[in-house]
Amino acid sequence: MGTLQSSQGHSEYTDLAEKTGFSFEQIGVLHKRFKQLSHNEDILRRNHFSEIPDLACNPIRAQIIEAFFDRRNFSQGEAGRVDEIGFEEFLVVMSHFRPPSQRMTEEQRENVRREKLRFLFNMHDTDNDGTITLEEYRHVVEELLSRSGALGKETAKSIADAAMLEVASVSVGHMEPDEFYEGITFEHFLKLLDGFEIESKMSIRFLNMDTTTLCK
Amino acid sequence: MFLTAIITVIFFTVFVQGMTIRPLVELLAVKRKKETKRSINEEIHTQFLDHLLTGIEDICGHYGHHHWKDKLNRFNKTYVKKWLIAGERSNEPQLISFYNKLERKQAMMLVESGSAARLPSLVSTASLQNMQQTEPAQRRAIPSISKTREEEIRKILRANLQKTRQRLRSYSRHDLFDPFEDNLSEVRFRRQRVEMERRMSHYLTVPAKRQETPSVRKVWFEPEHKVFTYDDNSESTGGGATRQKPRPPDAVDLVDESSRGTNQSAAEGDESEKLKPSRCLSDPGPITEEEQGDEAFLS
Repeated sequence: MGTLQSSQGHSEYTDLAEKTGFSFEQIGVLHKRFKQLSHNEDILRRNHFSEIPDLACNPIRAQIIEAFFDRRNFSQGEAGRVDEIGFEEFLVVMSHFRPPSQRMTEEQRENVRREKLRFLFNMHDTDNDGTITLEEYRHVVEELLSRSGALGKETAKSIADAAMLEVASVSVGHMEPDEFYEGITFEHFLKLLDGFEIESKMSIRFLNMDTTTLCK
Repeated sequence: MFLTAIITVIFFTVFVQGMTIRPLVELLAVKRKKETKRSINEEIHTQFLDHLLTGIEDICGHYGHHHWKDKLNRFNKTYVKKWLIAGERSNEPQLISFYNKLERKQAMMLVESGSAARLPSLVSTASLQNMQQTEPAQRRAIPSISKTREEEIRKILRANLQKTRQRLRSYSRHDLFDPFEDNLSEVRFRRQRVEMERRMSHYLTVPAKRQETPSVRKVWFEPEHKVFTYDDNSESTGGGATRQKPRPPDAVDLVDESSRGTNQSAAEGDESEKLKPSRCLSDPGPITEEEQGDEAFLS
């Protein structure tokens, strides 16, 4: 494994590193993992993800897997789904989870936060219309509660409704009783999760990943 | 010598350090954690993020923080909670318990504050939902509302009982018992309980016509303060449970109309009572004022 890595050279990693901001070691480790998941092919498909045993107990695994195949997360401006991804896209999706570096200007921090929230928004908004409707939000809450079993859809619905109402009150202010709140746009979403400090919460420390634990 | 040393250390840690920590922290401008007053959206997203990050860690194969945290949580859920928490609550997921807590808090705030401005944003989420959703959704939402409302009402009633019990205990040593007054106030107490419950059930069935509800709440705010008599808990709960007749809506309207007139005096009576509850026992003044209001309710 060691020889394989060194033979690839750092040249192709440089533009990846530039694009995603990972360091060379991190890219190397992730590449190894990619190869492991895809059984040494160059592309990754959905069924490869379903083979991971730990992921099976996760209540939102379907959405996570979908997020990898969502073109909106690869680059700005595109939409739609793909069925297979290469290593570059894999890395781009992973780069959403990088922790923010210590020295960052306010603007950069704001950009990072926007990016992460954009990722989350794309996860919630499954039909690509730019808003999270009540149905989609309900779906999210139901998935989260799906492990609990027989607690019923009604609780999930009422939780989702209460949450929507809160978003409405935060972003739109006071609403008339006849007005219908269409859905959460990205701006409202930003405003909603403003105090959440998402740039530090939504991050995985890739730095300390060592190769010995990757064998699964 | 040793004993003195121990005592000195303990005293120093507890008193000196304990008293100076807050000024020191403020002086050195240490960055403090935000006091959590979480909204339900934040809670949903915290849970969501937890699962998401655990999933990503699994995909990477990296046994990071989230991985172990998730394992511990699952262990907690399958074994520890089952054995240590009794009954229904052992299966309750975190989100639902958070939601229940939030609803309870809102119900408490409703009871205590009684300000009309709070109503639209807070508790009538259920009723607002009614308005915002479409027709079939409305029909679907009503049974679930009554369940949560019922729970809330139970909690409010329980909270009221607890409060009165507390107040009663704190007054039991100081109040002067007048047997005649006791009987009267007992009867009044029971009447007020019934009124409160009737009004609660009315509040349940009528979807939020907002103009109506503020006055309703101002109106039944008073019974809370009138309960100064000795404890009669079993009796009161028994009384409350047996007398649950629903009232026709127009009767309550009438009550509201008349109560608006007495609201002024009632509101003032409220204020003074809030500040000096101990006075009211010996002081017959506020009680007679409210008696008029009370009779207005019943008529």
